[in-house]
Amino acid sequence: MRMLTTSSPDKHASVCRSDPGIPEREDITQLILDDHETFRREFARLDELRAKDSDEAELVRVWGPLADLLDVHAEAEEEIFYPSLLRSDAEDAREETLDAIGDHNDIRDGVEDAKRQPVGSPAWWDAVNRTRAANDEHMGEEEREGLADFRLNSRTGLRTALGRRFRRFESDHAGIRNMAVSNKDPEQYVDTAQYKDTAQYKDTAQSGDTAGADGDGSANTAPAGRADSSLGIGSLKGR
Amino acid sequence: MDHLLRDIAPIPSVAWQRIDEEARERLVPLLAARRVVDWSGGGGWERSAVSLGRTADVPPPPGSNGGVQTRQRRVLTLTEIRVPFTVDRREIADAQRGARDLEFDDLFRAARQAAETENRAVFHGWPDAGIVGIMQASPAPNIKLGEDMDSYPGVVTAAVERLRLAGVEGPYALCVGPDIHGRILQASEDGHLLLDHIGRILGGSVIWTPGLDGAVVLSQRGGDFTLSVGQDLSIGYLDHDADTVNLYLEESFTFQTEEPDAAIALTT
Repeated sequence: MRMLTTSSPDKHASVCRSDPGIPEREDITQLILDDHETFRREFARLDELRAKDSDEAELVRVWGPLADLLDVHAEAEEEIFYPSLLRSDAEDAREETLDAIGDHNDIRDGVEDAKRQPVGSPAWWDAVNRTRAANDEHMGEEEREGLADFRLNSRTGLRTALGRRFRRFESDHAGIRNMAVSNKDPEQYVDTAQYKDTAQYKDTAQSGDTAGADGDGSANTAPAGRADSSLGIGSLKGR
Repeated sequence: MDHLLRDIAPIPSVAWQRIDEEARERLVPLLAARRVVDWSGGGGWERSAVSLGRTADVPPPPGSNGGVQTRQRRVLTLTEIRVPFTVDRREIADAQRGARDLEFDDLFRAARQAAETENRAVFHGWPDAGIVGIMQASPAPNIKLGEDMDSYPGVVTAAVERLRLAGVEGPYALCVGPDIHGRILQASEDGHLLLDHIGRILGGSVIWTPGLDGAVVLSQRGGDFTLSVGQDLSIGYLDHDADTVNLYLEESFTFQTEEPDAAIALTT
């Protein structure tokens, strides 16, 4: 386990998303895709730097924030997205999650290996390329399987509510601040993750699916379990 | 107490539960648009608008000197719909006695009206409410569905191919008005249901859509269409007399198409 608590904010400025303040675009599946786009773009920037035979400082300016975001993104998915996928009705959620956690371990290994090598050396590029290969494989599978299945098996209100938590997690831990980075046993993770944070999940699912808390909550006015007085129909997508 | 005034209605809690249950059961099958578009809820009755993230140029205040650039934020305002209905007070009394075969005919009529209004706004638009419907927003030339059921698989295939060529991934859904849906359900080809054939082409479902004229094929990948709701469908209290209680179904919403290319309208 690596416990990393310090990273200067400006070091990560190039890849940390700013908050656009548009709640409608906070769907967790969209936020994950946004990160994937960032990964592809930043690895391409490394290609450019390699072609120009750039010096160590330039490589660190791109790779440092990218490596941190890879770690934070993986933790955010393991904390928020995959537990929810496992709790959904997606048929292949278990297999998809096993694959994803294994891929995350490969990505974390690559990032860790790169840290042990002199920046710009053949061994460093080898570690960076292994990280990229593992990440490319993971992104492709996740986009075709996990994200697609979650869209088909979850209410959009839930996706938005989870998106807010995902965004907050990445913001709170930008630069792997106050965050433990560790590999996980995929089987053990799958067996326990779906029970993780169940109370919060219920809160999230509810808040994402109802119209607001303008009711008085009395048994005579609001159906049990909802904070407002609506009929609680919400999204029916996929039903 | 909120603006729905449910607390002051002469309706005991058990009867309220029955009315809510009946409304929910009737509305869910009718709210077809919600089956195919994304949902953005939250904010309740107080929510008034959705940010478009865009601006429009406006002139500077009178008397100001030159050199000032002025823009106004653009929003999509939520629109309220309300459909009144009545409930017989004898049915309310019987609900308290445990009756399960309650007669809420006017509630069913109101549920259908409310659902069709939402569906029509999503698919056909509502100019006075600033809503552009999916069928209007689609830039692709309409494909004719026609009357010949044998041609339906080919027409749906053409629509799906057009979406793919535009880079719009599936799965896809086909929303059809009740008349067309009835014809599809009854049709078969070589002993196989036409419904199943079309479903395989789409990789998705054929959706019965009250309020929709014609049909539309649209992507289900997400992120293309959003129904933004402030207060979701709710039942409120108006007034009462010795025989009936006057209630209403109410909702506030707007709708936005983020990717017009993600739908192909089919005309009859």
